[in-house]
Amino acid sequence: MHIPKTQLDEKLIIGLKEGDTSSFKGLYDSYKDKVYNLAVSYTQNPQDAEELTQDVFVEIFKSIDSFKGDSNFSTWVYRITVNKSLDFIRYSKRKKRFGFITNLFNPETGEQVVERSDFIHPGIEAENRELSKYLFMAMEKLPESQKTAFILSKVEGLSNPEICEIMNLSISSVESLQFRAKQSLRKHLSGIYDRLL
Amino acid sequence: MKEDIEKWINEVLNSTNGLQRAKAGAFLYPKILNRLKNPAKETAYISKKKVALGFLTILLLGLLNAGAVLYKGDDVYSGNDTKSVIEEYFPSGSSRTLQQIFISK
Repeated sequence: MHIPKTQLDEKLIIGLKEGDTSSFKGLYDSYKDKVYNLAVSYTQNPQDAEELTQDVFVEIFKSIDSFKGDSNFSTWVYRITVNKSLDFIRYSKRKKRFGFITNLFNPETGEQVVERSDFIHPGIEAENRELSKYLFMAMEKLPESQKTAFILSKVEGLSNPEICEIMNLSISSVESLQFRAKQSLRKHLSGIYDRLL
Repeated sequence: MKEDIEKWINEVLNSTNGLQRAKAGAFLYPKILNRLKNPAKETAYISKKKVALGFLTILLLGLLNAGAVLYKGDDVYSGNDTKSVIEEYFPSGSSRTLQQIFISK
């Protein structure tokens, strides 16, 4: 018998709240790719995305009691993923900024700054792989909210009402963010094109 | 030329068309369970090394400030302006010395 997804989620959430690990596995199977896809789009690095995916599911397990069902479970999971991804990016930027000082103190163990310019999203169609590299390069330059609106729409393929719920914004705000994201991307891509010539 | 750029930008912006969702690795779940069983291994976004570095930086700034306040170089204010004001109001022929004026106050 086919059980609708939200009904199945509810059953699994109740199970998880009661400490049932098979319910946790069920939720993990339902959401692992959504979480990973979003995380890899933000971090542009598969290893970091795996770490983030782990962080997200640990957070889901620990704070499942705080999920009251006011929003869809998927919205809640997406929110956690977006917040964790943005935290990770902020942390990486700080690490990059202070990297040279760290290296002065401990040159052998100083972590390498991850070079993300050649990232190709694993789900991109073969003929678009080369071009998408420049899109992700330009996306790095976007402000957090524009980047989130763009990734949720173009990479995760969510509708604007779903994005509104995740970002807790009105439709017009999300549309404005997407418009500004495209304008900024055009500007950055124009710069990249000039450098390529 | 401008048309070429616009065409290229549009192609890049549309390069996510037909994108498939990226798949998480097969061995993630055991790792998550392991982390739930061993919470001590939780990732800390701010490392102890960074905190120590922060304290060192603050200490260094404090020492530099203290040094700047306590330093008495040769080119520190010579007091000539004050002397000329004193000279104007209390000429050298005056019967009262500065010390006497301040003591009387």
